[in-house]
Amino acid sequence: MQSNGTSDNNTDARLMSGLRVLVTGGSGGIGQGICTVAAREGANVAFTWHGNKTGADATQQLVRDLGRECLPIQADLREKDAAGKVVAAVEESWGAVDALVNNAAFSEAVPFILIDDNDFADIMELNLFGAFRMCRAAVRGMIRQKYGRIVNISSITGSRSIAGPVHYAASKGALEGLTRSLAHEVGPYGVLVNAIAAGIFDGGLRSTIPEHHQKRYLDACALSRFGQPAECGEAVAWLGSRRNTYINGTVIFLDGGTLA
Amino acid sequence: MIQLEQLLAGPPPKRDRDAAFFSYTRSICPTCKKIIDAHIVLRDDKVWMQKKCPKHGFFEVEVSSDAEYYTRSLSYTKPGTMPYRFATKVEHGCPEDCGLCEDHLQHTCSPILEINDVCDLTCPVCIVRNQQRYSMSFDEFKSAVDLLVAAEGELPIMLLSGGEPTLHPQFFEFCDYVLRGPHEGKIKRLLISTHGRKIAQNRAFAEKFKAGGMYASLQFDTLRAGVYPKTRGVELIDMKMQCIDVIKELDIPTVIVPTVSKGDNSDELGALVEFGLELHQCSSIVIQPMAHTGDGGDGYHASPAGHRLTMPEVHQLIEEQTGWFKREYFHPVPCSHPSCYTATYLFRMDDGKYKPLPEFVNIRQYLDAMQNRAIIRSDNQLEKMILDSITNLWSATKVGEDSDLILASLKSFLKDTFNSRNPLSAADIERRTEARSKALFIHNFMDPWDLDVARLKKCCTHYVMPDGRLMPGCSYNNLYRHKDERFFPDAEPVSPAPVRIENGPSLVQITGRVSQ
Repeated sequence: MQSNGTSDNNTDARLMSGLRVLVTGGSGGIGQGICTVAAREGANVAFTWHGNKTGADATQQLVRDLGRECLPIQADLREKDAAGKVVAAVEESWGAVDALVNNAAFSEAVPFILIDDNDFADIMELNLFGAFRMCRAAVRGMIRQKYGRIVNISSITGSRSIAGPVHYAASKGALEGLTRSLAHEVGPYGVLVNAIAAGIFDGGLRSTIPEHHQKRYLDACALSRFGQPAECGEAVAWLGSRRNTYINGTVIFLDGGTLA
Repeated sequence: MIQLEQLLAGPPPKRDRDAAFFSYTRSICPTCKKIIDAHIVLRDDKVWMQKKCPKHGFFEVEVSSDAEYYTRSLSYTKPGTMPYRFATKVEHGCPEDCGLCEDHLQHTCSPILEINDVCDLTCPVCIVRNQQRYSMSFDEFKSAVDLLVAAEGELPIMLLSGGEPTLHPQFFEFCDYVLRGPHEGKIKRLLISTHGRKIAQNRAFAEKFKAGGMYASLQFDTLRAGVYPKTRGVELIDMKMQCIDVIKELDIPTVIVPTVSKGDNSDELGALVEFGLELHQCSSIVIQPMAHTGDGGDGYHASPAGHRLTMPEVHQLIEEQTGWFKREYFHPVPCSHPSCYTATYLFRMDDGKYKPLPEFVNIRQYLDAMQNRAIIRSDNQLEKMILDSITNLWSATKVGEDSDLILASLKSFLKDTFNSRNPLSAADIERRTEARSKALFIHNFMDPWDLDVARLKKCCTHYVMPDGRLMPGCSYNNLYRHKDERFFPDAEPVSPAPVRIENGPSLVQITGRVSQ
């Protein structure tokens, strides 16, 4: 792998050809869509999973069916040393991480006044601290090779006043702040950091949103439908590819025009 | 001399009527079924219907044991919902235009489709009159379901009845058509009105029933021996308890449906409510005060006097017999007429006990949230009601143990249900919500004694005819059933016949006798 991230196969025009991509929370929903599109675009894909073994097996199969190498890693990213171990495992297998996608997140529909310290800490531990630790672990190698792409999966609740659990919205707002600041700090070393503010997508966190809220979203969405995991994968693939050379520190809304 | 005294005394004083007039309606003569005028009057803090048939004389029947409750219950009303289409014109006036005619004030919340009139019991309380000959064909069934879906779009529930529907040779095919056929997902729950014998005694049937995803709507009148011989003609207590054991073992979702007759099993109302609350598989309890129609009119009590249970009486008895379930918890279900349905929804606390929602939510919001529906569902109004109750409980200056328990219980429910670590499908969320809540309904059917056209007009419990008509339940039971040629082929036709709307639901000429 060359330090500027050029392909190990220069004739391959695919977005992520030869890149080593690490996706957190890859066993279902958006994460599975990201892994699949990354593989289709030529990346070898490592991903973390926690409780969903069936989903993890399915993701692995999807990646391998696309002819790419796959490295599933079971990890609880709420544990402080998990991020370091995950990145080390990928570096040990493939030498480096070229693109990191912080997708693993948790949500629960609990109103503000019922959220206690434990609930808040629990969600922050994964959604914010987990992503922070993954960035810190992966950025070291990226700086070393003067190339890296980080894409943090945020939410439209992170920066807009819409119905959503307060602790979840806070974790995503913080993640966007982390994105902008980190982009400024590591950009000079060839590491570009961006975030995607996702609307409601099939699979994953959609199940935590009461049905009538989902309907309200659909009514507001210019495309009148939920996003598909692969559609998030397409955006991530571009942001995480070497073709992205100037988008940095940005939060891209991926919501079918709901908040446009 | 006497005449002189009378002249000196003047005319005798005018007498008042014995009751205060409250409203005018129409009803039928209990004897000849002719439609006649009726007055709703108030006397002795009770509500009565008075009516006079030119041929059979004066009739009076108690319609509510609590005049204050009755008048108050009428004050909460909301616009009904229109079906997508009506079947008959307004031609002769209610109740001779069924149905639904364009004047009917409510859509179908609870459709009932009778698929046979074959039964292996001859229950004295049965509101139909089984002739043991009719078995609906699959084509008729499809036609009925197709036209029902065309009229309503989506339905929260549908009830298959009879007869004993589980005795229909194509029972499971019918269920499959509703739940997995061309309208899959349109009818959310399929309930089977049953005595429970096949579930109790036929293991293969019970397992197939469970696998099919149907709900048992189980006739369940008592917890003690000696009552079923009166209500059902034969002792069934062992079979019923055997059925409950199978329901528990196979985890079959169930609605407990006691038919209650004053003096026979009305002393068990509290125990039946407690039984339903403790039965994990029971999603709701539907108490039906006995209506003296069909075999229940002719085969049980010669006169319903002394056996009638009015809505407030049921509330009162439940309060007296449970000691904790207050009558104030009951409110009319806004989709039907206030005298037809009352309900309470209960939520299971973390300690396993159920707490009625009216105890901790705003009543006005509660009534709005329950508007025009038979089943509790997640929507904006329900969410606002729950959020407001959480906020009010939490912000109250005095927070008692009860408030803490309610808040903790609501939180644990939300964390269990809307949690990305254990993502649930919409159907699973509905099931989890149902498992955490129960409903207690009182459904007061009318008979020829208390039939009130004002109640009929807002009926939302409708019999589904194979020709696409939807007949308000008590209208059909009292005025049309005995002339339905499916069951009584030799009966005189309905006269005057309801007039179909042109291009209305297409006809399968089964119940025919409808002029175009």
